[in-house]
Parts: sequence; structure tokens; C-alpha cells
Amino acid sequence: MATRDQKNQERKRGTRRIQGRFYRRMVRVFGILLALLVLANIIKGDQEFSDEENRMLARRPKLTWEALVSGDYMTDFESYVSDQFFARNQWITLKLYEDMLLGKKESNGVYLGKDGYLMEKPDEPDWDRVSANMAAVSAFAERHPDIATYMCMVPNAFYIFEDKLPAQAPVRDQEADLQRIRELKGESVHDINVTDVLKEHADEVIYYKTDHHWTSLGAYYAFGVVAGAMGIENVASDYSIHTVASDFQGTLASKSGYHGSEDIIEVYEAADIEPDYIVSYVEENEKSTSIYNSECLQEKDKYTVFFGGNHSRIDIGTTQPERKNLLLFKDSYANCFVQFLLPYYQNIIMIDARYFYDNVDSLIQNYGITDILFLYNVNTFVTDNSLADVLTVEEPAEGPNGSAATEEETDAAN
Amino acid sequence: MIFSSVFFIFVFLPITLLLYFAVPKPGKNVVLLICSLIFYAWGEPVYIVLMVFSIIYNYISGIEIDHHRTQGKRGRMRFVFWLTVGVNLGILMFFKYYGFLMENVNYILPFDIPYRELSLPVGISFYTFQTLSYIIDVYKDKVSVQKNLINFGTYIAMFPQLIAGPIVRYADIEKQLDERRITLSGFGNGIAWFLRGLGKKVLLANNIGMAYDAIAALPQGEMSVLSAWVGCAAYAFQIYFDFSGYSDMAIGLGKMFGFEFMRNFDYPYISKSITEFWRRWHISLGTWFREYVYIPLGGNRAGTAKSVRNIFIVWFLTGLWHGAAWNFIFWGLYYGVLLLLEKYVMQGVLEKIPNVVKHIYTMFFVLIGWVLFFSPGMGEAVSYIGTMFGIGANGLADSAGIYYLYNYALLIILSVICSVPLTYKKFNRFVFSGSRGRTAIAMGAYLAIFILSVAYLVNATYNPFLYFRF
Repeated sequence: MATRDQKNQERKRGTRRIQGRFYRRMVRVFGILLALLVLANIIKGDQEFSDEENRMLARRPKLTWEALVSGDYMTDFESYVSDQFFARNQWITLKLYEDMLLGKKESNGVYLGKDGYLMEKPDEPDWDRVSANMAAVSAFAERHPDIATYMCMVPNAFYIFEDKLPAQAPVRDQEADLQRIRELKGESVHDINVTDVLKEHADEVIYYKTDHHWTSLGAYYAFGVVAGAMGIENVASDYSIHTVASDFQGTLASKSGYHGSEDIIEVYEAADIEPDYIVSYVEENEKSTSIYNSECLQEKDKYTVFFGGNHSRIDIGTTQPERKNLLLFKDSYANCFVQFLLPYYQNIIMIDARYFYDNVDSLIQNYGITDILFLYNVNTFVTDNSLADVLTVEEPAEGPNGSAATEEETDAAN
Repeated sequence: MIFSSVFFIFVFLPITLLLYFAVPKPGKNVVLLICSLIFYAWGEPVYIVLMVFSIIYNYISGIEIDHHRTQGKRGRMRFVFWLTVGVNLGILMFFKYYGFLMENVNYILPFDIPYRELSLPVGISFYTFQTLSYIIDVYKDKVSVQKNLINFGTYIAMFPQLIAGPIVRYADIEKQLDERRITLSGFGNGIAWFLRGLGKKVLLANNIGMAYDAIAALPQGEMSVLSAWVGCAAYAFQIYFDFSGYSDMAIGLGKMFGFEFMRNFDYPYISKSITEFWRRWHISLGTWFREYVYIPLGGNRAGTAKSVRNIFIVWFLTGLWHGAAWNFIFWGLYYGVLLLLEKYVMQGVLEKIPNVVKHIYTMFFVLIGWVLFFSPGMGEAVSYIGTMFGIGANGLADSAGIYYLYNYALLIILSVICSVPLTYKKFNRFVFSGSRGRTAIAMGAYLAIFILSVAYLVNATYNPFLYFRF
């Protein structure tokens, strides 16, 4: 018995010795590691801008009494230490690997789909706003009964590319949402359904892998349907396709932090019937002879190669002889769609309701609009809160001629 | 300031440790007190005034109570004692329960009294209980009065346990305030505690919490039975790893400064009864209520009726302590009922049934308890519990439920593994009884926890700016 107790005690003593040694070594190992990291952070200079995140990084905050009492100084300082941390991008990459290892299928509201596809989680529709917008669209179309009004709602990648979503990912049934929008549109608006054609081509790259937009190819297929519905004649059959970027990593790559895929951006030029045109950015008071902005290809968000991004109003005047003028209400999905419309209209007026505050009825008079098209992607449309305001006539007492005059005056003043 | 942040680990802690070990022994508590006050002020630049007041007021009260006792003036002593308890609880009530009280008063009254809800000073529930433990024990002559303001301030404000416990009783720490041994291996042990806590909080709690967040955000009626249970289990793991991780970090930091705090969690999810669960969950709070409420009220020695009353008082207060809302009170009373049932009704039954059933029984009621705890209100709690049993649920299992179960399967398995003592026991036995190479593996494991956690902490400000969103 005594010997067994002794043995036990000896073993315990041995364990304690190993423990003591281990914990003492722990102090050295972590002491050195912490010291090195602290030192690296002190030596390392501050970085102003993060390409990865496309934003200014936090700088050392200024110490003021107000900032101290409100606590802003402390929160700013914590962001500063975190933002300027040594090898920040590598830590972020490591975190993404950890997420993947843990089997996470989404990051920051983006699904990490199959084949390198990133897809935005759809927003919850705001049906009150959708109803208000659709009522305004419908009233607008009824106000202009002699002008054909069309609506084209483009479904989003998560719906068309259903099989590229992570297994069982719970997403909205966008077809049901579309149906609900169609029911609200009224008699005077013609619906153009591009869902089927996009579904047919779901095995092609009709949406970007790393961006929330559709590709020019997707827009091309949709255009086939749109052209038919809007009665566009002599549709171009041949396009020359130019690849303008092959290393595009769009907003979804930034948002999720996953930089595993790269996209190609193509532009389409109708081979035989491309007219000459001039693009006017009305608010910016700038003109250009191209709808493409090659400078934007040097930037992070290369999708802005189309028109340099969104603008409140863009007028395109072409040498197309036939008097057909299009008023286009749009979001950024239309930016790569307009390249297909160019040959068929004398004037295309693009209105982005989110930035536009003028009177649209007067535009119709001034430009002799013959067609109106609402082109939105569903995800933007179901949360849009600007369209109804732009379409609603605020001062019914003022005739269309009166407002046309003010429009001309402001144009002249510009 | 929270422990699981880049700022704490790479700025605050290194500076504090350097200062603490640079000064000679008499200055160590001064350094600790000043750093703790900065730590508190960092998150609560205004309410620091309240805490400093609390320290000075209770310091003086303690001396006064002791003074009156030595003078034999028991009446005055009692008066000062009750006044001090009243002031401490009054402050707590005012900041924590004022809004709740007014809300309910307005609900009853036919007219509305306007009031402004105050923001809750961080840690007030914890440090108020610590000051009370001191005042009560001085009054009962269980501890001697603390004449040194620095030591007293250090006890109340000590940053490791300031914000989320453990609730350290003065009696447990009295001697350590004057005399504590700091050894290199003790410091290293503290690092190990801190890292385990950090890993629990950052790697487990935060990640599995995302499953709960996603499921809780599902609209009513779109939640299946499966989703509801997965969400509830995810929350159970989140709150356990979050809270016990924070306590572990506190204990570890305490060890680095030479303090020994009581452990706050003892693998609660392996419990075989609700009674056992509460001996293993938030131990320092349970101990506090037993010492300072239950036993002074007579405990279980004053007959069954009084003992039942006492249990209800304690669990009403335990619920209320967790937050100023009815669902917390119900949550407390729910446990009061369960504990009474176990004590008076089920005692014989529980002994006979097999262990597996006891585990299932315990976890079942603990999970239901968490629904009461996490729901924003009683209505939501009832409908969530309904969903768990198929009432108003979107079927038994839908694609969302399968999706979350499937995507979080690995984390759930990891969480289960890290919730049982066997894992830690095996780890320790493997590491500390045998060849030299094994400690290297353990060191690698701790390094991995550190590196993997820091990656998440640095990422906390990952905030891509997406212009031209659409």
C-alpha cells in the first residue's frame, strides 16, 4: 500500500513539475509573441486607404474634451487600433479561411455559392413602397395614354441561379414577388417578362460572380425579349464583343471579403448599324462621345465602365433618323443594357429616380417621347423609395407648358 | 472596454502589466486601481463618477459601521448599515429599474407620467453586489473593516471582474488585497485561462450566435419546428460560451495579477437536474443570493411554507437581477417552480430514472428557460415556445431549418465537445503526464487559439464601403 501511495504521489509531483514548466514556458512564448506584435504595430506606419475594403481606414483620433466625455474618442481609438493592425489584410484572409473551415455559407449578407458565385441575400420587400411606386407608374402611364409604357423587372442572380446557391439556402421566391408587382401595374403598362429567357440561359455567365449586376450577356438575352415587346424593328443580328476587363472583382467580393473569383466585363457593339451619338450628363454638365468610361476600368468598381456609374439624368442623342424617343427610368442594371438600345432611338433620356428631382412630364413634351420603359432589377425595385416622388405631379395647377418653360430656363441657366 | 478586443489585448493589457510589474509592491494596488478606473472610464466616461462615489461612500460607511460597533452603539450601527444598503440598492434601482417601473406604473394608471429612460451603467449590477457583500459582512462582523481606500477601491473596481463578474465576495479576497503571491507559473496559468476564455467567446460564442441571430430574425410563421430548436440550442451555446468565456478571461487576468477568483461555471450543461444546473451555472451569483438573501431570510430551516416563500423571493430577485423586464422575472420564477418541484415532489422520481433521461429532462427545461430569457417580451416567448412544439410552425422541418442545421453542424459538434469536462480532463492528462513533445502540442493549441481569435478580432471593423450600390 505504502509503495502505491508513494508512486501516486511521485506521479502527481511529476505532473505538477511538467505543469509548472509548461506554464512558465507559456509566459515566455506569449510574452515574446505579444511583444513582437505590439512592436510591429508601433513600427508600422499608418495606412490611409484600404484597397481591399475600398474605404479610408480610421486614423488616430484627436483628443478633445468633448470627444472624451462623449466616449467618441475611445470608440474611434479602438477602430484606429483595429484598422491599422499589423498585417490587417492577412488577418482578414485568415478569418475567411476559418469561416470556410467551420462550414459557413454566407458572409456579411452574401451567399457563398457554388462555382465561385457570390450572391446577395435579397432584401425584404417593402410592399407599401412598392404599391405606392406602382400606383405612381400606373397613373403616370394613364396621364400619357398616347405613349407606350413598358415595365421590365429583371430577377436577381439568386433566383435565376438557384442551383448555384448553397444547398437549402432559404431565399425568397422572386417569381411570387414579380407576380405581385405585375398585379399592381394597371392596364396601361405593358409588362416585359425576361425571367424565362434568363432561366433558359442559366448555364451561361449572365450574372457576375463577384458583383450584384447582370453581365452584358444577360442584358443581351433580355434585350431580345424587350425588342420584340417594344416593337423595335431591324434588330441587329451581329455584334462585335470587346472584353474590357478580365480581373473584375465587384461589390459582392468586397462585401463578403471573398476574393476567390474574377469576372470578365464585355461590351457589345452592333456590327453594322451603330449610329453616332453624344452622351450628355445633364446635372454634371458634361458631354462625351461614348457611353463607356475607360478611366473607370482603373478603379475598383469596374462596372462603372458603363456611364461612369449612376447619374440623375443622362441624355443620349443619336444620328438615328427615325423619330423615336425613349424615356428610361432605371437603376444600375440598365447601365449595361442601354448599349443595346442605342441604334434604335433618336433620343434616350435616362432618369435615375434616386437622384432626380425635376419634373418628368415636361421632359415628355420637350423631347417628343414615344416610348417609356421602366427597367429595374427586382431587389432594388422592392425597396425603392424614390420612384413615386419623381412620377407624381406636385403642382397640378401648373400646365405642362409652364413647367416646360422653367425646364428650358434652368437648362439655359446651366 | 471588453477583453475580446484588439485594443484591450494589444494596448491596454501590455501597458497595465508593464506598469504593474515595474512598480514595487506597495504601489501595485495603486497601479491596479488607476488602470481599472481608466478601464471603466474608457467605456463609461460619465458613469465613472458614480462608481468613484460608490467606492468612497461604501468605504466610509464600512468604517462608520465598524466604529459604532466598537463604541457599542448598536442602534447607530444598524441605522448606518440599512442606510448604506438602501443607498446602494437605490442607485441600482434608479439606473436599472426606473424605466421599467415607470413603464408599468403608466400601464396601470389612466394617464401617462413622462419619464426618461436612463442608460445602464456597465457593471453596476456586479459591483453593487460586491459592495453589498462587503457592507453586510462588516455589519455581521464576519470580515474586518478595510481602512485602506486604495485596497477597497481595488476590490470594487478591479478590472478583470468589474464588468461581468465573477461576483467576488470581499471575504474571499480580503487577504489577497494585502498579500498575494505572483509566480511565473501562476502567471502562465492565468494566460492559459485567458486564452481558453478568449477562444470560447470569439471562436465559439460569436460564431454560433450567428445561427441564433439568423433564426431569430425569421418572420413569425416562417419558422419550422426544426429551426426553432436549432435556434434555441444555438442560443444556449452562445450564452454559455460567451458568459463562461468572459468569466474564464476574468479568472485568467486575476491570476496574472496574483488573485484567485472562484470559478463561475462548472460545465452546467452536463447537469442531471435543475438543482444541479444552478450549482454549476453562474456560481458566484447563486452563492451571493444564498449567502445574503436566502439564509438571512431563514433558508430552509423555518418550515416548509417559509422555505417556499424564500425560494420564490430569491428566484424573483435572480430573474430581476438579469434585466428590467417581465420575461426575466418569469424566467427566474420558472426556475423557482422547477427547483421546488425537484425538492418536494420529484425527489424520489429523479433518483430512479436513468441518467440519460435525467440529462434530457434537464436540458429540455433549460432550453425552454432560454427562450424566456432571449425573447424580447412574454408574447414573443410564448409564440416561440409554441413553434418549438409545432403550434404556428412552418412544418416540422423546412429548408431554412435544414440549411442552418447543416451549416452549423460542425460548430454545434465543437460546442458539445467543449461543454463537457471530459475534453479538458483528457487534454490535461495527455499533456501533463508523459513525454516532452506533448507539451509542445499543447503550446501549439494555445497559440492556435490566440492566432485564430485575433483574426476575428481584427476583422471586427471589416467594413467594406460599397459605393454605387445599385
